[in-house]
Amino acid sequence: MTEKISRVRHEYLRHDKKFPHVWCPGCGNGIVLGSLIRAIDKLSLEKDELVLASGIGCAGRMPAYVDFNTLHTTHGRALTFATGIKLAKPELTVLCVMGDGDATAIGGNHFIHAARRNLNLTAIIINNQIYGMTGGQYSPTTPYGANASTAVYGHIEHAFSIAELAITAGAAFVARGTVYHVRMLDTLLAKGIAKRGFSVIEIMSNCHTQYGRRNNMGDPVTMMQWFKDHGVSEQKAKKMSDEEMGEKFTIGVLADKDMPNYMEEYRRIQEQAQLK
Amino acid sequence: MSEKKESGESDNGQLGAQVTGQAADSGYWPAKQEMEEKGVKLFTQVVFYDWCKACGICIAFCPKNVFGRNEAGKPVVEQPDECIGCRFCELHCPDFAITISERYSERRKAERNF
Repeated sequence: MTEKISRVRHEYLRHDKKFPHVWCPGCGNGIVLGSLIRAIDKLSLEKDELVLASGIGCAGRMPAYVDFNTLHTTHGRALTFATGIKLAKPELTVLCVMGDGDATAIGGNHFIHAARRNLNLTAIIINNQIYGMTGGQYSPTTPYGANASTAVYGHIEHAFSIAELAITAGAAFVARGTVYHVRMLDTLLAKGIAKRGFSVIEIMSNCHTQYGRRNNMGDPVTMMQWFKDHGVSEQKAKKMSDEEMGEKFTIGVLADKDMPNYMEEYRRIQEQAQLK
Repeated sequence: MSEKKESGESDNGQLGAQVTGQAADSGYWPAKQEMEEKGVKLFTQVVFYDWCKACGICIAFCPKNVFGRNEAGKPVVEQPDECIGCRFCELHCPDFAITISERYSERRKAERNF
């Protein structure tokens, strides 16, 4: 008898696609995919009511493996396609999977404006701190001093925080998780999908092949251990000084505010226009 | 990881091993009943080798060192009775290759009580 966790994920996977999937051994994308499936099952959403859109990159391969309505779009434009879907069919639940480079470099403008508009979308951003698929070039989230194939003497730019960018841009729900804290990630994803507004879930993931090997973390186990050591809950982070925090980052729900989303406002305008 | 192995098992793990040891001597059912009275749960670990890519996450993070490593680097179930059912490996396997299930299902328990 197959236990529940396994039964659930095999129910949502597309088995006619080539398995095992294309990601490297130990890649966090597989863990995120499993977590996403469990979150969707927790909310008992129908497969036909879901849309999973993705951009380009390793994370962009994700829609190929799930049995929802899926869309593999151009680089950085997952959110724009998702906006179109949401406006045309507001009853659908629209999710976007993007990498860190996809969401914040190539699609940076789309990302902040989708957050500002507060559309009822869920942006799942898998942050592996590097461009993994194209050969390890530094991305906007590569930390200062880290090595990359285009920064062989250490990176001289400073990384920006996707979660803080999303909060500033006005997203209704912002959370950060890691692939190590996977049970927490399940609940964060479920909360984000259930939220009626723009929700951003930044997931710290491991790219040991491109990022790890250049930064003395060449295998998935070391990187997972790094996430275990560096992910700090919000309550703990409040008590810690800046020096103690250092490279560490807060995980959990970082912002959660209630405000009318774009579709609700749009409907209000429609009604007003019809009254005149 | 080897430190954990040497420093001894927790109460729960020892109990599990003890009960299965008795099972060989005293027959199948009494051992199971005894086990249930003590509240010990046993788990079955199934690894689907066709999908496993030998990343080693399950082997490294298992709190009870259930898995060993074969020549290909893939996990081999070495101490199935030690498993406490935390499902870390099942949740963290990027390739969906591990399934942990309780060894005696509710249906079988109900059958016996009947």
